[in-house]
Amino acid sequence: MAPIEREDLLVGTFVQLTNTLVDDFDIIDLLTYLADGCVDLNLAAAAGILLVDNEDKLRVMAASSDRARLLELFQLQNDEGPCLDAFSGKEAVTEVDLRKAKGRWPIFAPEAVDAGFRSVHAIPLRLRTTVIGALNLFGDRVGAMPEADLKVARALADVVSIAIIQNQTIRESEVRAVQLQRALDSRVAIEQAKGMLAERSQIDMDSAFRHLRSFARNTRRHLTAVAVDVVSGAVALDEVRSGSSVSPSSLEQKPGRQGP
Amino acid sequence: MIDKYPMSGVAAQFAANRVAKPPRSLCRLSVDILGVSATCVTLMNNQNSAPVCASDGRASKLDDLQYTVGEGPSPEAFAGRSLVSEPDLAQIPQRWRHFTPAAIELGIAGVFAFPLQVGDSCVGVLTAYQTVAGPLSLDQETDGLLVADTIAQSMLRMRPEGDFEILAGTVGEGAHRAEFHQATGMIAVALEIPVSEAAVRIRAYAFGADRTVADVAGDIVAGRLRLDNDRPGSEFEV
Repeated sequence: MAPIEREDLLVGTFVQLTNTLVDDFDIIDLLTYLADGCVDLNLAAAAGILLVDNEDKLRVMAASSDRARLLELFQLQNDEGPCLDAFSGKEAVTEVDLRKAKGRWPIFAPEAVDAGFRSVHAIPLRLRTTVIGALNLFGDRVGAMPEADLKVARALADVVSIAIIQNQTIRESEVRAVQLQRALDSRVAIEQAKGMLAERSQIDMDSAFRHLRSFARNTRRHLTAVAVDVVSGAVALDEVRSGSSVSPSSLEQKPGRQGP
Repeated sequence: MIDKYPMSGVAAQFAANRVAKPPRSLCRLSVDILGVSATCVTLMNNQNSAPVCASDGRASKLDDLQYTVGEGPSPEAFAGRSLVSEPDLAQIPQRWRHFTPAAIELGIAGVFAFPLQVGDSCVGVLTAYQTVAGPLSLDQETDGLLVADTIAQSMLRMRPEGDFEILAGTVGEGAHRAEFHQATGMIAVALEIPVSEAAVRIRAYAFGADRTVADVAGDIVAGRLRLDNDRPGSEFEV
């Protein structure tokens, strides 16, 4: 491929990658672009991206081809292989001649050779110390990747890593934002329920709260759920009183009020 | 008054150092950073709002005022998810017909409400008040956005224990808002009406008596005030 052609294609790949960042983020789209891009840019004969899941297992997320043989080659790297080494070592891993790598990867290396590959390069997907997976590049020729190609591969890997990690952070923030807003509703319900109980039993707010909490514990329900039911009338105020373990004598009467 | 560094530089320092701090300390700091008279941070969702912190008693009153009358720059900024700026309240009495005259009476000339955005969600508003009329400078506006972002992130870090109590209104700024909800529950039972109606009654009474719901709720909870059922909106002292 002529240098100009390669450069166009490279720029195009980066643009496509960044497009997936600003549009609705789809991780599979992003990783597929990356895998295809590596092959289109002649960085590899076949490429795949593995990400680690909740159980710390590497899973194939995207590959430059659907060939089952290829996918298997990625999959078995959970037990051994360049991706696993790159992921756990947090460093790039290279094998320039897979035919001589039986000692290194007794199962993976012969399988890869059988599939037509002669060299492999695995780049960890990472942001500082956080490693989330690996980019796996297979070559059909013996020999190391040219330095220029390595640079490109690393740059692509970095962009993708940042995108995934950022997206995770944003998602976590949004979850917390929702929790915060639910906490507000929860607190309103609890205060309202306190007021209702306090008025009905002519006790102070602290005592009303103790009633609520005791009733919630005795009925094995969340305090918020009980409060919401008290406010809506689904649970009667007298039911809360009778269902709580708080003794009447320990309750404080409201100042200046006669209690029933 | 921090005048050693350019405003935006200060704000950047603020962001770098303050995300770990709870929102209430950020409130007073934001007054200095933005060069405004007072600020208030309000946690909001579509149904409810609760003050998290205020730089002074007046800011707290202004937040309460908006809660009482159900309108103002803060709920508008939340609903629209965008900055609401009114540099001179005296010029626009028809905007927020109930809030504006009351705010002017409290000595406020300009209001600026920044939504607290987290991704797609808005968790509340940072409201800045000025006693002197005039728009925010570009620097102030930029700093305001940065400060709002910092406060939003800080709020996300609040945990159910400790900080949440402030958030929840059982201590600090929001305590009087908790009293409003308690009073609502009390009135609901006393008058045998739904809580939603009780809340309206309390607000209506406060508005009619030219008091904040915080004051009125405090009296109801303390037993100093009852709202009579036979004559809706009227009261008699206990």
